Amino acid sequence: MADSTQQAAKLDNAGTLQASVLAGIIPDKITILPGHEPDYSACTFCLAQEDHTLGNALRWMIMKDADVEFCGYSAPHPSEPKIHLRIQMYENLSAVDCLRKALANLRDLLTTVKDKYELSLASDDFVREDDVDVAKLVKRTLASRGFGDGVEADEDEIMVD
Amino acid sequence: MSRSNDDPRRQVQVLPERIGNVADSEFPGHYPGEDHSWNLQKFKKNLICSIQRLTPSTVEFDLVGVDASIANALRRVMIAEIPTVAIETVYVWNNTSIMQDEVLCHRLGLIPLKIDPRELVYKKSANSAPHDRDTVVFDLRVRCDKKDGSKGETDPKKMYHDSNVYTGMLQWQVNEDQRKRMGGEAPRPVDPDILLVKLRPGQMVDMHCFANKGTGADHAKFSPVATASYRLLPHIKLRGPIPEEHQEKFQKCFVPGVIAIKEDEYGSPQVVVENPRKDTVSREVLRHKEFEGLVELSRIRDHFLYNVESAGQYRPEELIPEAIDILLKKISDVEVGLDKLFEDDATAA
Repeated sequence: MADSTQQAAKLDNAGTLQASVLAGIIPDKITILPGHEPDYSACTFCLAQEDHTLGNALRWMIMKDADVEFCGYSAPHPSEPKIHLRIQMYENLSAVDCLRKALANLRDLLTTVKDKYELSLASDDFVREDDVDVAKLVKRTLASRGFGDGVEADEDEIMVD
Repeated sequence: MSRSNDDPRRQVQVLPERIGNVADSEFPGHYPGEDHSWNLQKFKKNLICSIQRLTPSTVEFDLVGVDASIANALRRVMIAEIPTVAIETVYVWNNTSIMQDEVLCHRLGLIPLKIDPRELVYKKSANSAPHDRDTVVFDLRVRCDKKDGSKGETDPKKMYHDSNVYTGMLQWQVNEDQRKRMGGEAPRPVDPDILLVKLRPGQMVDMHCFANKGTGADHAKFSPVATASYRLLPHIKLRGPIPEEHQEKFQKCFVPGVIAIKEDEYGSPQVVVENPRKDTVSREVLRHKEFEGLVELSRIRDHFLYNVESAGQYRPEELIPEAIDILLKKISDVEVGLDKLFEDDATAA
């Protein structure tokens, strides 16, 4: 009995957060909110120090899993740097395993994108140009409109010792 | 090879008064008999990443075959999470210019610094003592004086010494260890010609600046990009021939270069879509009665045209790999957190 309450306390995000505020320690990266199914077939994870950047990408990847009944995420409050990620599984499968799988899949996806990007960069099959010289362009435009001489050449020549 | 742009499932409809078919529907269980679960091989086959244009400050590239959530994650990381080094703390020993201390200090903070952020670590806390591993020091000491023999002159440049204070006047406090780590290059502002403040004879600024590593999430001055954005590839479908008398008008409904008028095999002029990429999707064509039902506008949902402009701390082509590395770090952080959660769980039980 004591064990199970202790366990619940470990996974109780509200408790962890409060404790962290009191002790000034960083909250755990990931916790499971109270109210999850005992077999973890439906749980809400709390990811600390994360936002829509990872939340939405992860949500999409989890939804790509055929064993997932529901997945959604929310940022409970804009000034709290955390997100809640809800996963519900079919056939009492584990949402934790699903999350692990999705993280691994997301890593595969990103490394694939990176490889392709670097391949494209190495192929050198693109336009290489110089930047537009804005100062020169402005000067030329002004001159063409007849403003060239009247304009103070203030920021024209820079004297740096 | 990639899927056809004419596939209606890939299209976000651009209708006269609204957009339609916005969200992707290709998830497991949505279409009976179709498998849309994650498949790395299929993803690899469909993915296209091709750089279109590279300049010293910007990179433009296409990313085809990813979901908006991934594309957006990359954009968000580039803006807010790739670290750079910027002036964070300033000791104002003297400032007799007309600009208030705090305004001038704010301006100093916004200067992009040419310092490789990968060679520095984050400061432990705002109050911890600076260390040459986490802090780069600059001095700004400028005094304005009258030039001799400038009587009757009205140009401040000719009348005074150092009447303009530029970023190039920031002097790095030499630290050989830092120089070695930066590959022999002295830390400096990206642009030496940004005007910070103007002085008049007798006025001076004397400031001691501490630059630290930080991210755009904390303050926009740390953001390594001036812009990082994407748009979806426009797609124009002609549903029937445009009568010859309206062809020029049709062409003018689009940005120049989007629509061309070419002769077909019988020698009669026909409207063809030349380069939809240039289109701004203004929907002008949908306002005219004579083109009703003849054209369909849309955007390709998974074809992203990125435009990334570096603020100067990184080379533009380095930003995407950096962003991906940061996302990968986020993933492994969560994995470690999961391990820890269940490790604690096991010991508690």
